[in-house]
Amino acid sequence: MPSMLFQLVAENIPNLSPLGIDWWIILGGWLPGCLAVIAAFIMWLKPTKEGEGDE
Amino acid sequence: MSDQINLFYAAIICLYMVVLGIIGWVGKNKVKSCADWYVGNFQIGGVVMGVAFFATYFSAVLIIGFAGNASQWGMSATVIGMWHAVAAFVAFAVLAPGLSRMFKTLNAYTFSEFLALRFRSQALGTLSSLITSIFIIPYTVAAFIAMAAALSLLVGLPFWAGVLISGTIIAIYVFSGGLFSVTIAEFLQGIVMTIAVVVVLGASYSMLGGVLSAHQALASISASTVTFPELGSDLWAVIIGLSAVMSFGGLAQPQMILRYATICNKINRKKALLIAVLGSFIFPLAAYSYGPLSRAIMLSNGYDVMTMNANFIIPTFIKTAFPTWLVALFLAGVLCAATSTIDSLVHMSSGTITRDIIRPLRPKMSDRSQLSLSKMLSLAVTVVCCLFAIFQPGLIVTLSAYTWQVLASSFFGPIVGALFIKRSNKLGAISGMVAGFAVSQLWYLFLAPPVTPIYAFFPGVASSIIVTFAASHLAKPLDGEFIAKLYP
Repeated sequence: MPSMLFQLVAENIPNLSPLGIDWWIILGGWLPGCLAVIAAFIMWLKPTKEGEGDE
Repeated sequence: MSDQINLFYAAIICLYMVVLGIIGWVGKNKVKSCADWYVGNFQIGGVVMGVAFFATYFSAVLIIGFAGNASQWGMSATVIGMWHAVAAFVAFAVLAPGLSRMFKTLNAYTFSEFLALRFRSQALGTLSSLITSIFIIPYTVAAFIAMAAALSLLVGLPFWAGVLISGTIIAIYVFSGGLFSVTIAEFLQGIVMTIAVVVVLGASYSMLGGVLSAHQALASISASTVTFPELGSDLWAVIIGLSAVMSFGGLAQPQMILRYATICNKINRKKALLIAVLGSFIFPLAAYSYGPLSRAIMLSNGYDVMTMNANFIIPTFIKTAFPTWLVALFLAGVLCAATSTIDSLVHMSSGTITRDIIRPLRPKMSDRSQLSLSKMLSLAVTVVCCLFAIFQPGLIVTLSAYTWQVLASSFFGPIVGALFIKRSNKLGAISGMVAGFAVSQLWYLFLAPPVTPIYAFFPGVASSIIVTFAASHLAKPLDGEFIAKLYP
């Protein structure tokens, strides 16, 4: 039943992602947000060199 | 039964005031000098500052005001929220290293003092302080309105009483402990408010039968609730405009700069970066998502959000849709979110008035007198904002967006100049600030949406940066030794 409903909605709304919202919302907002989180993790994991602690 | 529930909510508020009172007392014992009160003596740790960053960034303005508007805009509002994480990354990874080094080298305690010392112009410091202390008021008032709206609807208090309770809570600990108290409180507040919005989001999806079913329920009301608005439409202008204003505009807010520019240690900055970005991802995603979901849930309870005042949609949604324990958790989240932003605004504006407007007029003012004056001014700023909130209440989103656009347009040029343009000087910074301010004001008055789809932020920030760069080339650069010290 939910899949039928999704199909019905998808037929009427173009660009619908599997999450049930427009792909433009995901590409225009969620993707940059996720990339920022990934970049923050990478920077956090990057080791700090000896003597770089205090400025 | 209703009296018992109200008593329960009143107990939460009292408990919250007691906790903040203790934090204020602890902070008071730590504050021995102006450096302690203004910048925590540059000693605040990365984890605490990371949480304090997003606790300052997001307030009841977001979880009540913007989420209320998002219920009318639909899921496209989440785009606005997601760019906050990008802005937090830029703040800590790109701007913070240079800014924190310069703050410490110049021994600057406020943003305006930083500009005055970097560009060797007291006039610039005083001008930026005047712009900050005047134009931060609408945003502070918006935060008071959001908190009071939640208190009045959830607890059943009159609106004015909600404002006064908010003001009293703020006064307790900003007065006593300065940045130490503010950041310790913000650390706790950031955790509570994040739990509150995430639980509300989870409960909202659960009520609608899961993520996909919830989005389908929204689509069945209107396709526009799950689609990105049409290019050039009014809502498209709002989403694009607010995505820029509320994310990148935040980078140039003096209260935000005091968070990311006062960590003088690389290890602490890395910790703060991760926590600030995570918080800036989770918190707005939750608030901008439960906003639209509230439309479907409230419709089944007989409310049409499209006909309601946006300030009151979320408090009504929480009160009518959820059990008492969740209402109490949300109330705690609202208290934390509102106070964590208002405290930083009050702390920053009282600090800058003392340090950048009054002290230059009385150069012999002692450290102790400055500290006392800053504390008294923090009370005065709180009272003024409470009075505005009671007698001149406006729409939260309008007030907030206005403040952020004016401040970002005024300060972006001088910040970019200070950090990345070695040649930038007094003439460039003052010209850039005046140009950004003037262009944003004129655009706001005559060309802002719906006249054109472009927010004042874009021409304001562009003119501020371009004029700072161009005007800096019309005057002599600052002396080489001074510049070498700032750009090692």
